[in-house]
Amino acid sequence: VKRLALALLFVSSTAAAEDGLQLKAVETGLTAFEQRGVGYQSQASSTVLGPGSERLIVFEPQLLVRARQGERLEHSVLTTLDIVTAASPNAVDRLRKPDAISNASKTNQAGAIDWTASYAFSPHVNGALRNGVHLEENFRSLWNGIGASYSFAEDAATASASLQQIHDWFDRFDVTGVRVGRATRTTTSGNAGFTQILGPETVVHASYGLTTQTGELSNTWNSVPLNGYGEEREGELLPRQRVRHALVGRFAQWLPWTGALKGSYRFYADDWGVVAHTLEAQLLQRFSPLVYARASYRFHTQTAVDFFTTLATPETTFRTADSDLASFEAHTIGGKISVDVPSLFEGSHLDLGYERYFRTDHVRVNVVLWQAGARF
Amino acid sequence: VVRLALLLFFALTLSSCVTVPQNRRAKLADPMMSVSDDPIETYRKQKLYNSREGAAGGDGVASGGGCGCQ
Repeated sequence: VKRLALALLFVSSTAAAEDGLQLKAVETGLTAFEQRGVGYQSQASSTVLGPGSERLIVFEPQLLVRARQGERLEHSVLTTLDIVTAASPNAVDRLRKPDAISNASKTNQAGAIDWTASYAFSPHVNGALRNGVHLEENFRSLWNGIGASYSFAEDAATASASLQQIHDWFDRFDVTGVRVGRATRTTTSGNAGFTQILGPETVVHASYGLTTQTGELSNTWNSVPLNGYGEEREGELLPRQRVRHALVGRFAQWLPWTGALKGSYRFYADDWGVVAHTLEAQLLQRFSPLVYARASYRFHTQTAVDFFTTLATPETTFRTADSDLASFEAHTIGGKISVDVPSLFEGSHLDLGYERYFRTDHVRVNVVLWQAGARF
Repeated sequence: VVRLALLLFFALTLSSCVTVPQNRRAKLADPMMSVSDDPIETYRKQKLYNSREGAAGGDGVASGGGCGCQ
């Protein structure tokens, strides 16, 4: 891995000195998330032990730039901003003047830059380096990754593998909003995938991912209703390690009426007790050489973590009331239309879509997405 | 799950000896046939699902980390 990283760094710096950049694509996106629902981890409630609001609004503008540098090197830089308003953290310290965490949550501006440099060692072998940074008011994150792919059988089959490391540093707060030092966590993820063209109209893909996490795995201000000496809340207590497995299968099938059917299944299991199944289907229809539409449906079901509770006792070793770690079923329905606009300039396109995510525990999210750009 | 994994494995390996000529891959080149999402859509999906479902990760992306919402 180190040798491949050094080789990529060497060739990228050499290429940078010899070749200029050639723009390949510029994409802009704007996504709005509007969430409603309640969860027992939230204190935005009229009662101490009752579930609190999970109201959340996020505006997320994005910019993606892809550029080629010479014959072999390609860069992809994705910049994302998040403007977040959240009810749950706002309620943490409602009895006193808001401190950093409340200010962060009222209107939290977060930003991330994700840079991937891929290098073609040969027509069949590619290597990639990925680096990124995510900044929030009370949160810092850095990630580094390396990957490679090998295509064979006249490029009908591609095997790929990647390794990624994420380091997070963030302020620790108690459930009353008082800053109590710093916390860290490390995430290491390895993935292996295989893509196969089965015929002129069919392609399949399978992948396996293993993720291990170490450190503070809570956001530190999530609370849990306690059945103690009175009505009160304390912080959630999570194990400091987590090992997660995910197995994914996908297919894409061309349909005779100039359409496509895509589907995927994902199996997930971890050592906290969560077992999940996710099915997704997309039906795409091209109406003209310039216009196609997509309808999609996704179903997700998961079991709760072993220590999930909505009313804990003070003696419990681990506890969480986070609704995201509970047992639930989730559905997402959506649609998108994509229009090429060559009259504007060659390669330009416009995408507009809507998705609705709703769960059996009544958390629901409306997502509106807009994307425009040009591929040169 | 084991049966599904075995079915997927044999489907991939048994078909790997079949190659499709480049001039018969026009339909596969249509953007509608891509088996992976573009980076903007991938990030949006991570935002929607990774921070709301305790079963994120795999499929080429890390689970947890990189976001204060975890």
